[in-house]
Amino acid sequence: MERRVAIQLIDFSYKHPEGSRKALDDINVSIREGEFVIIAGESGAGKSTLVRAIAGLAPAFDGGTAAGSISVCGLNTRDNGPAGIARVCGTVLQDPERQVVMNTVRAELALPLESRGNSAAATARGVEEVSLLLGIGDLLDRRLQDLSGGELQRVSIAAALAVRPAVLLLDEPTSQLDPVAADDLAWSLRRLNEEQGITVVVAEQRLERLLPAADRVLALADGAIACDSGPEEFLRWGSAGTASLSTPAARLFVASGLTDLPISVKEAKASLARKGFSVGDHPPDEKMEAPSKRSRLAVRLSRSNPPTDAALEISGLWDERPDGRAILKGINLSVEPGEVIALMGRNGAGKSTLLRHAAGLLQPSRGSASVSGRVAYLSQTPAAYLAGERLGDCVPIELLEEAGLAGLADRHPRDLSGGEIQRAALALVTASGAGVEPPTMVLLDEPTRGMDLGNAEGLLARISYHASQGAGVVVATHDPELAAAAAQRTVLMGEGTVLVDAPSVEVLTGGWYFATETARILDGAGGALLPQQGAAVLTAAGVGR
Amino acid sequence: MAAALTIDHPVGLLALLAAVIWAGWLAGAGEQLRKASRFALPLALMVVAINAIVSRDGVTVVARLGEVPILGRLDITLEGLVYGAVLGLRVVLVSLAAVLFTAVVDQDELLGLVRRRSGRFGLAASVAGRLMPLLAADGARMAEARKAVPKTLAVSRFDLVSSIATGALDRAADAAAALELRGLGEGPCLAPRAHRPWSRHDFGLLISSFACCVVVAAALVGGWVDFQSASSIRAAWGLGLAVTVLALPLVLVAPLFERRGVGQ
Repeated sequence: MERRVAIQLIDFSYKHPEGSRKALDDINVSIREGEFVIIAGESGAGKSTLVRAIAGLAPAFDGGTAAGSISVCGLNTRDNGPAGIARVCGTVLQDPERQVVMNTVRAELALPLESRGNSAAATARGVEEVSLLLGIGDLLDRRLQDLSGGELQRVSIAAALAVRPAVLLLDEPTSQLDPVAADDLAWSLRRLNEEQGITVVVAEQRLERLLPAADRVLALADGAIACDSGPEEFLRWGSAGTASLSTPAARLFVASGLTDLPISVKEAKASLARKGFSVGDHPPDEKMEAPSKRSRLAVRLSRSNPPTDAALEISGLWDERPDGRAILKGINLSVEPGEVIALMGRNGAGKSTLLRHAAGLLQPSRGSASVSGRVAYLSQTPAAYLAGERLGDCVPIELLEEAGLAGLADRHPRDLSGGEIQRAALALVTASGAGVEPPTMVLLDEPTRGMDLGNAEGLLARISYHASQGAGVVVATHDPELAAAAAQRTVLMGEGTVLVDAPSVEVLTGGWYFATETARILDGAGGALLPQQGAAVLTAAGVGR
Repeated sequence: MAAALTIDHPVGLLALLAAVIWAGWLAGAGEQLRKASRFALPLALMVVAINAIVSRDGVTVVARLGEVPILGRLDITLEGLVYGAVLGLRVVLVSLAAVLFTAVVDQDELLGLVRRRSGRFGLAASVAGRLMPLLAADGARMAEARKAVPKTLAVSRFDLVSSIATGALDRAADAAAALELRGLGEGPCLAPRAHRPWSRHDFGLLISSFACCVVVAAALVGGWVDFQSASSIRAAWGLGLAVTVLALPLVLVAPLFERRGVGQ
């Protein structure tokens, strides 16, 4: 029996209030009940706009003009509005802080249940079940304003799921989650889709986690559907065109000249095993190991005997709060000039707090953090750096030209995409010349959040430039691929302490969560972290090319 | 808060202020009160200064400032200063009492009750209630970002405040959209809440509120807290005032002495 249509877009087009071109252009899509659909596309392709249109927010809340129609479970968005669509569709938007409305987590989860007239018993049961599903039981009585970005994201998803909607609509749900929480969420979505039959539609930049669960991928380009196919066919389409619509596993296979592109680590391992590749036969090769040993020695030396000219020197740093919680517990960290360090760890591990101490924005309870010159610090909210009515009022035009954003000088900062805001803010904080000394320390907090691969490569170039100019760089990130590509050293934090401080190749190869996809596919063989390095290992093993 | 608006006697107001600070300290909200006082005290001083300048009442001149453009002849009177001080004290008291209220009262529970009485008012209250911490967080983030930018490139404080103010509309739209997505825009369809048994703390606070009303009513009726500074300063002094000043803090703070089973 053919499944009914859950979401239908017929000739749908949409233009933002002050937009010069259509953000969505003549979209015709039918999504059937129980399908798991990923909306892919580069930054600015129209993914979030499509999510907001399906949720009924565009144009009802966002303004602008629309043509055509959208229906969700038979409800037309034009007639029913966001609240009407919410009867059948749970929606989670990009910025979790902007979509929580109550004061405590328990009240936030109870609100949609109470709004629909559920009894007190049904509300209590619903809150309990959804909190268990998302692993936020310990947060129920916490105040929302005290939660981290990742915790808020899980609460938002739980609130959307609380009413057991027929359709779940998510916009970049893993962008603020640590690798463990992101994997948990991917499995939860898969379970909800397979066991409860919930239709799941997810707009996502990083596809590797969700692709194995997907029935279908809709790729947008300039507001139009550029590809509508199953995951395998999508990977072939994406790999043939722009690499940013691909996964590290697919890029590894393409770089190795292999054509059967895998949609998961499991599939990639099975495919390589069929081709005769075995990790046991290919231990870490000496060429890659040698610098790693040197780095390890350098790390040990720098910890036991910190250099006096370190770009950043953190010594026995504690951050204790008035309520008795210790956010940081005796952190020691030294960053040399020109060194790039990745700071990784679970949500709430203390990464952002450590960066704020390094930037001199917080006062430690004990210990110290000292920097030898100017600090350039970019927080998780780059939009906060652009306080003005025009981008050109917030960032000098020469810096905008440098960042390739001069054409946007007259735009309001809130009308820029996430990647554009990130680039403008980074250009502002790292500015030098004209009476501004260059930074000796660059601190970046989650700089690739919501960024596509093309923009991430631009960021990597910027990081390399500052390191080559002698600045120390610390990047707090949940993205192992960024850590592998940018950092010589990776510091893994947990519960306010440094768990591991070692060369990136050592930290990011053997793990289950804090490891790159290439390293997981090759089980750390050859110390390969990135697709190109993995391809070299495979070629040396006689697999591919 | 109602007591702060009905009592004029500065000594009575000071007693209430002491009660608020004492209660805040016992309830673990001392830090919030300290932060709020950083804004309330300058505001109170401004009220005193403006009242001293514009007040035309009072016979006891303490300073003659001569002819001032627009304002005309400017005499600062003792009565004007005292009345301004009372107003300033009231500003501080109401501000701190409001902060104490938001710190110790469960806003979600309160909004739930309001939504049952009036859906639209509850919706507006939810948006407004959510807006304040959002704007405060925006302000804190922008101020921090300003510190992280080289001084010559940092926006002015005026631009910063202006950006936060104009962002309020966006934030309100976000909060309203979030409420719609939670299904509130469909109109209230709220099930009756489960009856929660009252704890001894609930009874304690109820008795304390009732006792406070009795003390204030008795003080007003008995004329123990009479005060006026229109043309000359006249204030009640005596046993009644002393009883009021001692009773008010004790009555308001008494339920907070026993804090077992109550989170900070």
